[in-house]
Amino acid sequence: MRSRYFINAFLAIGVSGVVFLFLDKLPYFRYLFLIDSLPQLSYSDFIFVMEKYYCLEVIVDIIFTELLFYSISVFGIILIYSRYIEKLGPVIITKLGKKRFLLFLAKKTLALLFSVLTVFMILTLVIESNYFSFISILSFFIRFFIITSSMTVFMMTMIMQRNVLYSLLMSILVYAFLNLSIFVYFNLVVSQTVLSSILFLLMIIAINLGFVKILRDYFGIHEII
Amino acid sequence: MNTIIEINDVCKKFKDHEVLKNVNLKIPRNQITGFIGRNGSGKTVLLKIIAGLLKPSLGNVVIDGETIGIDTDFPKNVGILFEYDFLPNLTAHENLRIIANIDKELDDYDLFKALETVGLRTESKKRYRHFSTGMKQKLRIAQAIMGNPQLLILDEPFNGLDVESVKQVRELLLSLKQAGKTIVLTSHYKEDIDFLCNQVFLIKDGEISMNNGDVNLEKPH
Repeated sequence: MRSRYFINAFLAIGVSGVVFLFLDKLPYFRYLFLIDSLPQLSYSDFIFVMEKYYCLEVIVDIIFTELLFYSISVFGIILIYSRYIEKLGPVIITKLGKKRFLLFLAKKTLALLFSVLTVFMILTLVIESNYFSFISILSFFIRFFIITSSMTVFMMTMIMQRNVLYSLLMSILVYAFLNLSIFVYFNLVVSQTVLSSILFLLMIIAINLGFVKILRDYFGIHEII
Repeated sequence: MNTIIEINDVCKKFKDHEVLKNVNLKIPRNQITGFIGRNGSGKTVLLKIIAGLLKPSLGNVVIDGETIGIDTDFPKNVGILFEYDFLPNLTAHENLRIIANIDKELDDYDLFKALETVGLRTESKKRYRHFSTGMKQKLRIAQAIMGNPQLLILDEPFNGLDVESVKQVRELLLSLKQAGKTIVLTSHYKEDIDFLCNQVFLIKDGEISMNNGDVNLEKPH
């Protein structure tokens, strides 16, 4: 089993590296994330940025970048889902009980996603260790955290409540609450962050609705919760 | 009769289809109880309801004085066997290890003992995806009995097993009964049921009745 851990770690480093290099080549990627998280940016800087970058290309970049983050979190959640619900689910749930089973799933999902993220961060710092890189990683971390949390809440409520509307509402609430907290904490003005958030929110709803079908295919799993 | 499981007025509906109709039953402790019936008769559904994996549409199941779904989510100290899969890339031992890690009560000795009991000791390092149907079923049995549970809920435990393995598993179940375990199982094969069970129930069209021996479901092994 230990050798498999090494293989998994190697794969995680490889995938994270490719993702990072890919993102790094996107035209406005870094600067957009600088706006998202850097509290020192003045309002005039922001206006300047807006004038310079407020265009279709920026919006496409935002969608693309966040879609990529979202894909990573979805991949992680499907992995956990297939492993601990579809296959070993009935056995594990009878041992843990419903509540502890959900906590177990949430813990596994977050641990997996954040271990990938940690590898990503370390790798980035090794490739390019400067302040700018650090800030972009911080932004990435924040974004990833918001998306992952929202996605995890969607999956958990979908499994627990079996109600699409309720699950969507919960995931949107978590997404909105975390975004708002970030705005307040970093004292951000109404910015492209809001624009990207709204666009991404629409995407979350669309993709989550797609997931509903997959979740419904596992009717037996729904029944156990 | 010392009852361990009480099934009270249990009905189960899937949309408009009523799979179980007003089932009332008492299952005694330290005995083997069997359910027979044709495919789709509701055997597995009943076992899943007993295991807490399905909620009854009406009625309840009480195990050891605790109502499933109210006092407890699932019965305590239970080993289950349903048609689920293990992780294909892991070996038999690694798969059992993952499950054992949840309780943190079983060590490697216990796992290898369970594998040995079902005749998979020498295959413990083999990946699950390379297992035959019979070996997969044996691994499920090993998983169900590891940890020495007092109650075993086994859905079609003989499925996919060859003649020799069927004999082994029968002997195993009888020895578990001698050791004081309660076993509830289903089977298509009347021979298995007759050989093992202290009491047999027939499920037909969602209704349950004591089997009077005139049922011929499948050819024996």
